[in-house]
Amino acid sequence: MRNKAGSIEFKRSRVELLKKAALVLLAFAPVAVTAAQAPYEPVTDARLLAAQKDPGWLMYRRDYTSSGYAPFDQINTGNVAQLKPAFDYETGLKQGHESPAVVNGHFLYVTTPLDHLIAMDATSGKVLWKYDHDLSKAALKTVCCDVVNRGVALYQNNVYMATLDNHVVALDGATGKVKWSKALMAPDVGYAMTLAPLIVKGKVVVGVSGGEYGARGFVEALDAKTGKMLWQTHTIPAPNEPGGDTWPKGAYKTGGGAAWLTGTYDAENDTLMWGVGNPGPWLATLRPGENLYTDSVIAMNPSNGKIKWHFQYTPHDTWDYDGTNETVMTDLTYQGKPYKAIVSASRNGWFYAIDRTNGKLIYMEQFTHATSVAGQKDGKVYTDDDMRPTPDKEVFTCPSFLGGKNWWPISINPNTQMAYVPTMHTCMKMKGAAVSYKAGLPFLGESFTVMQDPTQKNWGSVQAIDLNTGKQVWTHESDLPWNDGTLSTGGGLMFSGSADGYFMAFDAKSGNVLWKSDQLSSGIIGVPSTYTVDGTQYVAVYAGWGGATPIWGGDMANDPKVKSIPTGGHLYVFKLAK
Amino acid sequence: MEVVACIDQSSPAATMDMNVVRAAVATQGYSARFEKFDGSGVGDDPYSEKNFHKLTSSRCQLVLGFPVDVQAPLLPTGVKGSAPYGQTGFALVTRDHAPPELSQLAEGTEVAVAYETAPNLFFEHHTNIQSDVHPDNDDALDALAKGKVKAAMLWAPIVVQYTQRHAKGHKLFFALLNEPHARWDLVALYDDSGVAAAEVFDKGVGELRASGRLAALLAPYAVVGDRPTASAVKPANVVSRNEYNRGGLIKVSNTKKKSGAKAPAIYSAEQASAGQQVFMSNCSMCHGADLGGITGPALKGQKFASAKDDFAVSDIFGILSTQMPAGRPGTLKPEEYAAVMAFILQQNGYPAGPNALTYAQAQTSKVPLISSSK
Repeated sequence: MRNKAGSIEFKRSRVELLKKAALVLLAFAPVAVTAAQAPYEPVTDARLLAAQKDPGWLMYRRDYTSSGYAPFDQINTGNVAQLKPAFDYETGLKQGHESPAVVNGHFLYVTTPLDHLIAMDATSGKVLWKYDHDLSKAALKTVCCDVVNRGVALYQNNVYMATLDNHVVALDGATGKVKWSKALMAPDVGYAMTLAPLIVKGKVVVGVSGGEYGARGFVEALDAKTGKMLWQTHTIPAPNEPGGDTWPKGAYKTGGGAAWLTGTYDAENDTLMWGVGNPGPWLATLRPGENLYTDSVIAMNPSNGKIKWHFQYTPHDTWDYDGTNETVMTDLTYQGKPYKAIVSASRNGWFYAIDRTNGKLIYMEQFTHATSVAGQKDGKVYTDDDMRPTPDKEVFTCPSFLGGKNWWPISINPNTQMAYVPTMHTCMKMKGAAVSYKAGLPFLGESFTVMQDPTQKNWGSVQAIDLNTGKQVWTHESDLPWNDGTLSTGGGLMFSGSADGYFMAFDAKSGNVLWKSDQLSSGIIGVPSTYTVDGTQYVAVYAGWGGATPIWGGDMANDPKVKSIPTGGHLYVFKLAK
Repeated sequence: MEVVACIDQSSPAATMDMNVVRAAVATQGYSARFEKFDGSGVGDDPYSEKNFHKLTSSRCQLVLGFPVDVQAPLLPTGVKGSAPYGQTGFALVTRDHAPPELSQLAEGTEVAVAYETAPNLFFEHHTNIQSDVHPDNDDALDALAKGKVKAAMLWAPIVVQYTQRHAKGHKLFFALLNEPHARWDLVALYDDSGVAAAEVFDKGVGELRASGRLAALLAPYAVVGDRPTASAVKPANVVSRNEYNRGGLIKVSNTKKKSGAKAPAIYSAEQASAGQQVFMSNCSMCHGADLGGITGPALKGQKFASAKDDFAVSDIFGILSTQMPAGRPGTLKPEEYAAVMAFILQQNGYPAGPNALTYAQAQTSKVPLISSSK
């Protein structure tokens, strides 16, 4: 679409004409037609609980189940070929753009790298207000993987964002006026925040990034009205807490376990599920034990943060596999038995189904070449000890620490009973004893090189997995890594964007590509979303290459095909051509 | 004439490093000037290894105090290392009495260690002790000084610094450990422009060692080390699983073998002269045309292979054939490696015989390598 600016301009001016016509009408009848005039409809608890059916897109993954699925079928397999740009917005920033467009009525919110928040009209892209978070005092040196932000949460009249300098900010949704701003931690002490907050029962729930900086991760709930801290749950138990004996004494203080992606809320069981990141330090031989709750999903009581159960995807991790990838609630049938499940495509290359009522494993299947984690016995995951690096041993194992899938969220479709999983085909060489130096003292870490998976010819793919078996149904291969989340709709479609800037609609059943945008201005890593305003369905996605892949991708990042991906943030919103 | 050395002022052993440089270059008629830098890193981040090259290319001829793992001698890219001038490392630290061996600590003893340091590895093979990890060294030393733990395993120079700062507090005793990755050689870093200064420094350190003054200059931060060229001679993968299981002691065997015993003739004269040619074009730039050592260690004489070192021909050949030439290991032909080995044997006083040494023989030869040359 780099060459199509003219046609977008044309549409914009037509919208302007319509607005003028509407203003004339307003003199006679008070009908709100744009966000500028529309009253802001409060996002109540009831609306959040029914977010799946809301015409807008009220939270990061649309609803509390983290489904990434919208029932809209105005755009469907039969007409998606007529999808055309409705409007676009250029941010002027060159870093990774990961935020979904979150929409309440006529109000659309996106965030940008370095914590800017933009409110715009959801039908025209007209900017209503902007908030520029002041990062001038933050050095941002404990942000490992690009200075990103993954979007906002909505509640009552407010919009909430979490920032790189560890603030949670509440702003008035209609005006952008700051209601409160609360610092959870000082900036640059090993923590940062990049996730979209989650609102549960009047609380703003956030988690911290920082698994690489000797920090101790936590999930925290703040009063949505005031910003007051209500509870804080550490992801690494202290020695006197359950699980505390899975660490050397004292190691919990630097045990990592960042909680850097948005969780899932099971309203029926009143349970908040949150993914926990990698243990610190990376080299596992430095911290004997299972190292709970790293690389796990923890289930908490949202009233007090108390942990109900956990499931560990990668015990005693030494490969930086994290366990942060989103859990998606779904009902499924496995080997004839029905389950209330969560599913997650883990960084470690395995696709997990877990009973969400008790944390017991239902099944785990490889969704990409995975050699570090070897399987399960009696519902407990085990690893291949030969794939563990030590200061005296280099290993070659799969996937690389960037994962079979990184943070890019999967979506599911209840009609096809499939999950849609962005996938990366990398392995790595890894060795202990990479030494760093500080005041004459040597420190131990791990050295690594990301390489191509020798069993694959491409860097990535996006694939469909049968929720009832965990097995692949179809795959769409990509010579570039596939670093975009997926969006599923009631129109039988799955949307996701490629690293070379093509936003695509797939037939959810077959994987056939039914529509492909013109080439957008950058590679796509933004979370796609869809919403309906005044009877028209829109699909929104950010182009804006960045994130961990170009920084840490090793051979992949150095591949000229990947290196040449242009940067620059650009929101594109599509609708059917009339 | 002057040698300019960069000193990490954040290193607890900075004073020691300056004393060693001053004394070493003085023996060669040089004076020393010091450029101070801050190697403490920024916040949580370590000091970037790239900076060492910047220092040697702009501010000084030598950068002092860089520790090199005796078992995995890795240097920052872009710089070379002198022969080790001392050895330090991680020490067992206790209060009020001299520290015993790790294995002598009572069952269940909690031992304080610092985050991301090698002693965290030692617990796996010493099940009598339990790890108590602290975010940094001071925190661990406070715990020991206050009696919260009975022992700690920490970087020796930091322990010295702590006891100096807290002279009125509890006395702490320490002894260097002989665990895997516990011992570190101290080397001076330099680049091509500092070769001459490094040579002056190396020679000076040699004289200090010979005259017995070196130990005093290093104490109490470091020791001379029983193998001055250890980091260059010992291959990275020297620790076998057995050695770990044995309790982690990696000592060079003390078995005495007399030098000058009848040395067998295992190579041919022709082979040795072929080896000399290979050596001159591939090895002499580091080890010296006379095998006396320049940036690489000497390859002849008692410094290279004494009875105490307990080397067999296959030990040296293993390093030669898998790790040399530095920067492009394994790139010579098998017969070239065998020829270089023959040349080294010849230079160390071994007689030539009728048959050439084959690559396979060199790999497995248990013939002791003890130099009889000076």
